[in-house]
Amino acid sequence: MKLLILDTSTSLCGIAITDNNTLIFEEEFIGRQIHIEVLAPTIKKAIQAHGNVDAIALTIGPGSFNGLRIGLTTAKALAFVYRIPIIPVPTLDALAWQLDISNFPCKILLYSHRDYFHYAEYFLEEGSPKSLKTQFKSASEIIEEDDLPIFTNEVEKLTLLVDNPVRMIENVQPRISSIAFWAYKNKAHASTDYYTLEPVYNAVYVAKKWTPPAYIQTELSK
Amino acid sequence: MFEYEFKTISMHETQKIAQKLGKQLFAGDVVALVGDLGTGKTTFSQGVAKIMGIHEPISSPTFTYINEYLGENFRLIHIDAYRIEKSEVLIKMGLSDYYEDSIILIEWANLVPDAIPEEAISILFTAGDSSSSRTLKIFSYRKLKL
Repeated sequence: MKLLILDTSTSLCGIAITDNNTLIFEEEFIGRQIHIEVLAPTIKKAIQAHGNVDAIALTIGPGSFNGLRIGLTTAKALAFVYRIPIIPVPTLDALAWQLDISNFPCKILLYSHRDYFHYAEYFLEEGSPKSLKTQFKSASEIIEEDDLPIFTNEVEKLTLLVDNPVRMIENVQPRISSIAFWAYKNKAHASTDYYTLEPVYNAVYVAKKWTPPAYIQTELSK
Repeated sequence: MFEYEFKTISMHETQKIAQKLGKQLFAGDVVALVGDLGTGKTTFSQGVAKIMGIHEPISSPTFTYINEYLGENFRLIHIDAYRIEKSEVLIKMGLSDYYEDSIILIEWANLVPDAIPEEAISILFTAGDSSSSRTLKIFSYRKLKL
């Protein structure tokens, strides 16, 4: 089974082809707003070099709002034309599947924006990482919940945002190999329902409006 | 709500506070700057820009409405709402498109409250007794190390 793997969920943009779990093509790009530029040409290059694929696996979210939309739209267009299924891989699972089993239970945090992170608590079930519900909270709220070790793609930001985290905080980055591994293990999740497949944004972007703090209002009315 | 108050006696001091705050800003952060003409809003913005690695001169975008600068890690969006006056105008300019990868500073924020997200960091600038002294009152929904 030949898989095209796409990851556009963070500032990393990864394109790979695996053949029965062996990596035969891999390219990674990093930068702001590069996904739209590099994704299609790199996929073309990969398919020209290695032939058609049987399915597309991609990180479905949570992650960068625009990144997820670019990745899924590209995957859908290809899948629709080639009549192949898409295997949506939860981004946090792809991170969790890289960790050594000795690290569980733990929390996996994916940076969103400002002081917000997407996260879930992970534990082992029959040797595989399983998670509780994926949530969306601020750094300080997450830190206050418990003392579980934390793995995140933004260690520096997290430590800057909280006073004394007093616990293990380690780095974990999205990796093509674990997305591929997850996809092989979860082939049953493959979908050809191109019309209803959506990114998992996790965060609800409801813009509540600002009101100047009471003190400022009083000062302004003077 | 976390509150911080500073009395500064020079532009340099105001910029020092701006730099401290600037270090702790991330993409999606909106800083609402409120205060009369000449109370230090632009001086403050210059301090934030400097710590973000922006070396171009920062001036108040009174006539251009919005200026964009590319910092080392984030884009800085500098807005002057003095002549925009209406929240709808700023919303239609696509302000929310900047949230994913930018830090936004809005001067005269009080004129366009509906365009600003609830969790903005608000700063009130007031002139002090001497010509160069200013008071900065900072209100933040999250704790800052200032």
